[in-house]
Amino acid sequence: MAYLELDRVAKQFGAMTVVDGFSLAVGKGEFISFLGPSGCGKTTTLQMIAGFLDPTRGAIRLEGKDLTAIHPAKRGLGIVFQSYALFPHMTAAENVAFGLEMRNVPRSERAERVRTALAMVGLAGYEDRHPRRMSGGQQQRVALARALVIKPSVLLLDEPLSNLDAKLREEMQIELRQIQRTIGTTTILVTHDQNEAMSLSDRIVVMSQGRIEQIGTPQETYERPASAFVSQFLGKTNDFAATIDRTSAPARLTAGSWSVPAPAGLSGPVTVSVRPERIGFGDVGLSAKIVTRIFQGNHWLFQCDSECGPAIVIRQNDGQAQPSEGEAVRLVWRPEDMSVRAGAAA
Amino acid sequence: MSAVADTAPQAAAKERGARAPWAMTAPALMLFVGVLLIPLAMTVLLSFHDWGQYKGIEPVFILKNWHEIATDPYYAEMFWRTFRIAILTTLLTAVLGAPEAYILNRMSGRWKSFFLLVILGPLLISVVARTLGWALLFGGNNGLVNKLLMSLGVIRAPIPFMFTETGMVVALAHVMMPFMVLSVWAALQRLDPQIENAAMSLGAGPVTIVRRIVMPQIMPGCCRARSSCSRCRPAPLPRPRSSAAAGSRSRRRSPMTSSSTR
Ligand SMILES: Nc1ncnc2c1ncn2[C@@H]1O[C@H](COP(=O)(O)OP(=O)(O)O)[C@@H](O)[C@H]1O
Ligand SMILES: [Mg+2]
Repeated sequence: MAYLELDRVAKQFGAMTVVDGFSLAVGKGEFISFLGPSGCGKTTTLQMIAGFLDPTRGAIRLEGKDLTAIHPAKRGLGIVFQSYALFPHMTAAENVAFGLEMRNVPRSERAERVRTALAMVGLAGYEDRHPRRMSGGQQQRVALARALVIKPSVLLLDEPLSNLDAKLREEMQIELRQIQRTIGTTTILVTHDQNEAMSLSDRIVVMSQGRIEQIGTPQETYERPASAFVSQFLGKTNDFAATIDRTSAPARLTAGSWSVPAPAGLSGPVTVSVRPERIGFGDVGLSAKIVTRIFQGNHWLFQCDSECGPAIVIRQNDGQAQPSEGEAVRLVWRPEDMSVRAGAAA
Repeated sequence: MSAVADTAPQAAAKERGARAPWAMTAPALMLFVGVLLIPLAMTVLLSFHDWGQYKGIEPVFILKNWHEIATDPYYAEMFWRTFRIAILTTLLTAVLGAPEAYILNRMSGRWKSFFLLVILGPLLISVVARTLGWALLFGGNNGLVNKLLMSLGVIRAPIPFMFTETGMVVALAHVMMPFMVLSVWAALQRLDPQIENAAMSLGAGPVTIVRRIVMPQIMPGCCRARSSCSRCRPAPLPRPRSSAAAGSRSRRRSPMTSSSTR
């Protein structure tokens, strides 16, 4: 049975539906990311789990028990806010101790657990600092320690790293993942950064306009995107308009001068989606001309003008000779590297 | 400006950066010095001079005035009364104003504007109209407040409000309320909107959240309000010496006319 379960959850503000038909089963110890553009309802969903908002429809269950019937203060979830929401008039240690105080943990045990929690996030020795005298990264760590020290059943993180600069963000990502692995807390992370979602999560929930587009492992969502939205949102991709012709046997999938045996199922106009790093240059395939060639150290980036529209190709800098600008090439890829969706490319 | 800063040595630029705040606050600072500090200093100097009904101010150095202030119970009583009224007014304003600001902060847009106007009311009404209003509410044994309290059965005999300290404190708290509400409201708006949720998620109930999280953060606002209250507090106006013996000195001051500053 799922540890945390969201069953067709929906949220309306007045006439506006912000989240709709959100169903998700989270396993114990899993690291899940809600990924989507700003305004797609990630925070709203997280706040419904936290209890700050009540779902308009649907059920949220934790270990089979209805969570919506429990007051937010009694849910025992750990939450890290985007703004950290630290208590500015308390020291780091007092901030972390607050949740334990509310649980009437004896003073000596409290001090011990606060020390352990701060040490875990790398802030040993900062017990008596006030938040305003700490850097963004340090405040972030205090917020994390404060949420974890109460041994939450689920840890909810709302864009916790978005206020940090790129380098610090990467460090914190690694650290977050390590901490989560060590203590095994079921975690839900909200983010609009696809790299963050991919590098941290066991599974990603891709959201758009209040609906789930796809749920899958980072690899699945990247390599077999369920919709045009997912393939566009998770990194660069090339979409080619193609047709599947089933009138003649064997059925064929054709885009311009490129043609292969059709996969089962679809017919009529379809979209063929291929990641730039999966395209190579060969003798047969989609004919194209190289418009620009950009050297980026460990790889080359080609912008091509193909017979089915613009295309991007990324090639490893493996020492092989690469085509130059203006050269006519053929774009090839293996059948397993493309995903085919019904409908014409946008 | 920036072109100059680009060519100038860095140290000079830094120095200018340090001076900029001073330059910008200079006008206000000069006004402050001119209308407050200098007159105060002159008053202090004056306090060491002698004065007589017929000889006027005599520029001599004496400690007679200070000695009189320290020893004459008339002044002690006056200071104590001033202090007491200030504290009571502030307490009453804080007790009513802080929750008022908290509720105001949680209201939605339209209601918030409406009630803000209501709260600012006392400042918008002229002193005369306001005094008259309180006189009608408090006046004699037939004042509205007394009638109401008696008909509700809270009190049996009318409470004397007019010309009493009770009446003064109530009326002063009314005038000071906007300062308190606005200061506390400003402090509340600086709170992280998620901070109450953060406390709640850690297991804190509503009372604990207000006591442990909200109150400590708005206390600076309360203090600011208190200092604006004391600015507008009744100034200790000395009576002519002849009436000093009369025990009913405070009774002769109407609540409103003693509000000195505005
Ligand atoms: N309290 C609210 N009242 C009305 N609309 C809201 C409220 N909170 C959020 N919304 C709307 O819901 C949508 C989703 O918001 P949110 O969940 O914060 O998005 P995300 O976190 O994915 O950026 C937004 O369009 C936002 O304007
Ligand atoms: Mg958000």
